[in-house]
Amino acid sequence: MGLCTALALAASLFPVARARGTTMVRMSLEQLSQASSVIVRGHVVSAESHWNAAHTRIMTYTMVAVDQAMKGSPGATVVVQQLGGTVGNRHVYVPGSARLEPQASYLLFLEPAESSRYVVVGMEQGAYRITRDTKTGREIVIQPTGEFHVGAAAGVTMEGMPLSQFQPGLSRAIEAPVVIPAGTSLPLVIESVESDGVGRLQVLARTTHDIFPSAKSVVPAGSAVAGAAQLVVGVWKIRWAEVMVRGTEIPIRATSEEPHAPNGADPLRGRQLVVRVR
Amino acid sequence: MLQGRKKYGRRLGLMAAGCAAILCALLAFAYNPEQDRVNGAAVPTHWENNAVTWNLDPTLGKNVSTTGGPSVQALLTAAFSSWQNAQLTLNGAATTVDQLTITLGQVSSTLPANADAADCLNVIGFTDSVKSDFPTGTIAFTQISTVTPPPGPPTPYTCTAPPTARTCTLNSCLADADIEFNPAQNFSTASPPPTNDFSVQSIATHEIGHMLGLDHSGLANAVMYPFGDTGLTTQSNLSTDDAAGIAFLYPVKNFSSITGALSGTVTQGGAGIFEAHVLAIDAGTGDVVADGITAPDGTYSIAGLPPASYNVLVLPLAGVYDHTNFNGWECGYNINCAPVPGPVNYTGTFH
Repeated sequence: MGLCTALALAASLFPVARARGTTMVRMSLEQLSQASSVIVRGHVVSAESHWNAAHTRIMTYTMVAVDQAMKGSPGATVVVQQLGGTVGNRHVYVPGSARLEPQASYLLFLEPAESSRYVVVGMEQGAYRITRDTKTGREIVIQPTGEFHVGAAAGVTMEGMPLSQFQPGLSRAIEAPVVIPAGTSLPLVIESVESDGVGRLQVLARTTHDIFPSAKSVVPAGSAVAGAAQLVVGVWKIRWAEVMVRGTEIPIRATSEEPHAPNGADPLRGRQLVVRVR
Repeated sequence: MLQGRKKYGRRLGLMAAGCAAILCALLAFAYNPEQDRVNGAAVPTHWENNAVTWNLDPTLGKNVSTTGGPSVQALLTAAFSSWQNAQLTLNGAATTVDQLTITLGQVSSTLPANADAADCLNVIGFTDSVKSDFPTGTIAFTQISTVTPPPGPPTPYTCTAPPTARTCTLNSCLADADIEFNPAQNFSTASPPPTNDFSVQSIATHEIGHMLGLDHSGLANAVMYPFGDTGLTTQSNLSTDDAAGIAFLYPVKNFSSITGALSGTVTQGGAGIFEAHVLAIDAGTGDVVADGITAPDGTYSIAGLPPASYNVLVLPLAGVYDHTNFNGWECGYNINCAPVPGPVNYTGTFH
């Protein structure tokens, strides 16, 4: 198998498979990269689990020392937040979530959570374990295996892909342009508007759903969508101009119309609509 | 990059005598039970007395459509029923292999909207409002809460709704399980669902498997396979892998005598291979029937198999490969492919 093929398969094994079970959408390396605000190579330095203030959830906060930032500008450390963990004899677990082992190294695809913390994109899909081949000394990147890590690690480690061969593909995925094809539907909620003159508004909306326009693109829920509205005979005609995905501006062409509510102080705010990209 | 040819074409006849030993072997399972570590050992977790009560918050967002389909409650009830009556075809007859008592408790919009690990109310909901509960790509999740009693007499654990003290008499008990559907995905109760919607029943059947104690399976034809897609026809029938898994956790009394088991050790250079996939493939039909994972010492056990002759194929859990690298086994990962009848040898390249 050629390198390119291997790289493509690294994040998308068996793309033709149609599965029954459903916890998560299988994400390509490009999609993982686009959905991430930060991609780092790092190692786990500490983890703590505790009940939340309402005593309804156990949360685990894992501190990861950043050895290399491949996307975004994290600090020297990032804190990964996960639902679940162990406190006393109570164990909480979400199948499919990444298991970040003490001292272990990972390539982590991260998106923002509360209080400057992060969550792993795509659950376990966004945590690639990095190990060192004891025979060759080379660093190996291993597909996320999440829930299968139970029990003491012993015996022979399964082979993965040398990190040096994986990284070029990752770099290409990070740098690949994000394309939202014509025909893509974007469900939006208008978050705010700002006057741009008489009968004119600058409109900011956010996507309400995770959108997967193609196998190589994703628009995560909450992505900002900007447009300009003009009031014409009692109707707001909105031209949508761009989508912002984790800091990347993606130009789009789309229009929509919303009726004007004459007595509304904030004429479009809160409206929910579906915009179709041309 | 390791390249080597591995040939695993052993034809194994099932021997019922192997069953007793299999049931004692922990950690290396086909179908993957959720496990806790107890005194250094991994043990599967169960609902006590084989009984579980579920509750439904019927509040639905605009992202859940019931147009052209039954109610959400009806679909969830059907999904629970499929697990409650898991069947294997044994000697040509459909045979129930598990025993579970599943009860619908409350149907109320006053139930906790967000996953709550302490209340011991098993709630299925569609309006979890914590955005970080759903990283991009998440369709739904199940939060499992378990209790492992300390050594000695059973020690009570607390539940908050209502405040009660319960006791776990097993090595590991399921205490709470909540299923949350992602409000940022579209769902439908129709069958098949619209192109851009996920099937409520497919997803519910998968998540209920978690609620009952099963983790993900490596087989794409299993309900417990972790990945899904929109627009798929509802798949509510359990695979053999699923049925064997739930029966392993909640077996009928004669489970070990009416089904068979495979066991062995995967080695490379004399050392046991940890976390290798072990596939049991029906030697007659070519169907991949069950999937197991090896223990740290390389041993594996696959219990609950219908009596038949099987080939065993071993694959790396985390390797980089695709189905074109192997001939004859890919139906385990691609439910659209045609099985290869009468396969004996499987060859492939590991990278």
